[in-house]
Amino acid sequence: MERKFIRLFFVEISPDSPTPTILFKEAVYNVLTLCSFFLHDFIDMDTLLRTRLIPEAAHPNQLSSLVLRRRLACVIEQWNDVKLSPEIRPLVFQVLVSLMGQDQATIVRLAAVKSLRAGTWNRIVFYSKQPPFSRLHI
Amino acid sequence: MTPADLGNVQILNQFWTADRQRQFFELLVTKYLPLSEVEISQMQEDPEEFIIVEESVSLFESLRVVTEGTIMLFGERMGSVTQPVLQQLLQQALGNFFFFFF
Repeated sequence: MERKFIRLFFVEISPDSPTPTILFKEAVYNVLTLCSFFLHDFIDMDTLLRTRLIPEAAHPNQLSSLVLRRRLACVIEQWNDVKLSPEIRPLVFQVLVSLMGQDQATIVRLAAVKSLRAGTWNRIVFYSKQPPFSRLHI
Repeated sequence: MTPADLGNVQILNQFWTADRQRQFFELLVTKYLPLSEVEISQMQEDPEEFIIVEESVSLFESLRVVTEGTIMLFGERMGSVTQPVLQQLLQQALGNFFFFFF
């Protein structure tokens, strides 16, 4: 089938981004989670995570650091089982581990833990001998 | 299917025009899905309780849960309608990004 490239226009997150902008983004990312079962054929989630969701969640905006980081963990939880390439999994794994850090909001840490407890990670972490997963093998 | 059932299907099909489905889906995502100020406060003040409540509330207790269920239903049954709307919403949310639709 023909692949179409669609150029999109982006509302950047900044320290003073209005709350509705961030909440709208969170809602749309929630749809990505809810509809992953039919969107996986239409969306390149690897690229989306690498170029948008992860950089956005890293932004120090107070609200986005709360709601977008939590949503990022939820998106990863859902898409990891649906369609993520093996190439992006180490990055995604590191992101989840960093979201569990003590400097994060509790709600974000809980979402990251929940995401890491999802079935696929157990298999990957248990069998992998490659970093970053192998660091867990003590 | 009885004639009465067929009549109901016909009425539903007449009501749910493609345009109305698109408007309804967009309304769900933009009005009913975003977190409220109360929810954000709960997230910060009592995150454990927020998660417990979020995972335990039923369709009858939370507008958000109903919205999420309806969106999933739309995705499952009306993919051809929801996809363009989603594309447009993603365009607003993600912006300057080369997004692949196969």
